[in-house]
Amino acid sequence: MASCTRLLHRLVLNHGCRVCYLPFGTFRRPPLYSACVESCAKVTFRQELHTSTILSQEDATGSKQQQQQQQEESHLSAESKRTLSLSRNLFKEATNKSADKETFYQLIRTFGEVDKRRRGHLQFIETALKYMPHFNVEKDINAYNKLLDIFPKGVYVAKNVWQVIFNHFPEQQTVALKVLQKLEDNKIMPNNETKKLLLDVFGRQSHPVKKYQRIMYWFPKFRNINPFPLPFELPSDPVLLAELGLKRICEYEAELTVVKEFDDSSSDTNANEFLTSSQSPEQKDLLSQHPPYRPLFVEGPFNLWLRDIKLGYYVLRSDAIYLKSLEGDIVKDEDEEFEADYNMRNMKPPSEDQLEGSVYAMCMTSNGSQERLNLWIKKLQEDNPHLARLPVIFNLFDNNTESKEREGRIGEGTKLLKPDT
Amino acid sequence: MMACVKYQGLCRHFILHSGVLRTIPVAHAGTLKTLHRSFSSEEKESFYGSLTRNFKLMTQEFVTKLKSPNIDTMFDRSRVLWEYKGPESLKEFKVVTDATIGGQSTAKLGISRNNKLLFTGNLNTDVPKDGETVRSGFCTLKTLQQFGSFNRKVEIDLTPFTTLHLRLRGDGRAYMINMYCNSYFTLTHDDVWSYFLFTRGGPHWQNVSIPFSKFFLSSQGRVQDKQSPVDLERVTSIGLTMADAINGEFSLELGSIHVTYDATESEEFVYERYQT
Repeated sequence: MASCTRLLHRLVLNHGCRVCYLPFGTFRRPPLYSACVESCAKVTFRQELHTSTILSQEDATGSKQQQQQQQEESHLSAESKRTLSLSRNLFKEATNKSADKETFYQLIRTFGEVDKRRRGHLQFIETALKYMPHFNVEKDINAYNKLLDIFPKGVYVAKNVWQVIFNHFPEQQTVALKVLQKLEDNKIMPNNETKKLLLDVFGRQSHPVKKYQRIMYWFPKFRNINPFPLPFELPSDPVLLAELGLKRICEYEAELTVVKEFDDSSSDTNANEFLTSSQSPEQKDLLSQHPPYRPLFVEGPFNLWLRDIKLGYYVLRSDAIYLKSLEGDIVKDEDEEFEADYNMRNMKPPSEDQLEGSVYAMCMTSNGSQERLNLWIKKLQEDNPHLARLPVIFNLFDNNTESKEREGRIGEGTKLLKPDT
Repeated sequence: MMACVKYQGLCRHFILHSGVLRTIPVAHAGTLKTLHRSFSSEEKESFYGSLTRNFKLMTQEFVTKLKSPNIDTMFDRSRVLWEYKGPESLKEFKVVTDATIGGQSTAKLGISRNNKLLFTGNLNTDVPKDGETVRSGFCTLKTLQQFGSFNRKVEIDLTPFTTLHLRLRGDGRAYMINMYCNSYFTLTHDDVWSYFLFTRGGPHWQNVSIPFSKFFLSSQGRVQDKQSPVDLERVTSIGLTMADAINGEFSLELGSIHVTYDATESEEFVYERYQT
């Protein structure tokens, strides 16, 4: 999926009441607001308990929860205890041995074979959902289909309008909704098999089918709206990633150069080092006109996110033309002085963008040390002879130092601030 | 031509040069900036103090109405809703994070090195351990609700306009733009119209323009089945949300927010409105 749908991770497609979030009719009678909230809390609490019983009894926090857990357990029959432990044991053992796609499918098959009546299949599905990342099947639509396939066909289908209104088999529908929610969170499109399964299990007028319809309505709408698209699967090679990142932020005519072999001794330790640089012809022109009395700055690393991968890039830029005071006032005298300076040299006064100083080149490197960036400047000098005459100041952010130091500098680019702790 | 200027032409979104906006005076009525008491101040206002203030405000409102400043919005084709003009401009925003529900995201508002608004923070999707919350991780920047005399909510009338523009510089992450409207029923108080905002990242500024017709309705984080266009007469505030479910730091520089009329935007609402 395009990255836009990722936002739907937080902005969930509706599948319930505006007040209580739960599917309509989870409670047989529509409750008042406060009652609704209360019962909602209870239900979720019970579900949490349930899964925590399955997953880890050690993790239970607070004596109150433990007490309730014990109560819950005492209510359970010996049989359901067995099924509970069955689903837990199945997944726990499998994760210890070999956790891959095939094992996951095998587990689902085993569950069907152990008990033909499939008792405790809701618990099994919920446990499976929790364990999906361990088996690396979160992005696999077939895994979701196989989970939905566990539901018996035809039993939960509402046969008349009253059953539809009063939410036929609410627990089962809720679990199916959880499966679909997980699918939505992982930005996967359901396929025809999913549709067929949902129709067979729950019938046309059910919440899971409605949720399926919502996904099928909204996902394609937002699939291609990103004006800066990325490939479906990002490359794992850091060099390719850096190229992708630089191409995204640099000008279209810019040339990319990749250096992989370094002469200095430090490269012996790591063979995977690289330096990717980009410069457009326009930037080259600008750099050749840069007055020699004004220094250049190498700054970075600034953050660039490609989906969930964070890259750091460095820029070679001129200083800001106007040094605005932190209060935001442009100093008038300087203003006029600069304009006079430009008029004298028959140049256009700078636009607002240019006030920040212009970017002459960008690079990404595996190793953000000053030696490596020095090398970058040296490589740039081959194409830009004028650069050799310009003083270059290295203004590198140390990710380990506090952000206070960075705030004082004036220049362009976004600041990298550490979160308040 | 500078590299950064060149970049604007490459942006797929509709371009609006910032220079154009400069010539347009900030409209007086209904912009986000109004002369009102800031409610962040701690000291308690006396009864007579508040009466005097409110009556003064009301008189001002009457006078403005009589002078009919809206006459220029009839002919205006754009209006600046917000623009960075020094640290005072930051006071028009508030930051809300998932800390309100027990989450661990942090965000703060500051001034960037280029004297622009800087919205930075760290998104954390860890779910608070309260037994009921299932998902977490959002940081929101929102313009403050402005109040008129006697605590009436000030609504911004955006009906003459079709498109929302933002000038910003991001870090490659995706954000959301939200529009909040005043509404009558309690059930619709949480209605938010949103659209996605993709940032390019890199050192260059980005102009984003989004037609109002593309905003879709959601309520309490749920995209609604029954969609309707934004109630442009009753917009109360505009916001940005960072919630792309990726743990890590984010930063966004915001230069300005403005609205324009674009005659080519004939559609009222781009999503289907099925008769149910």
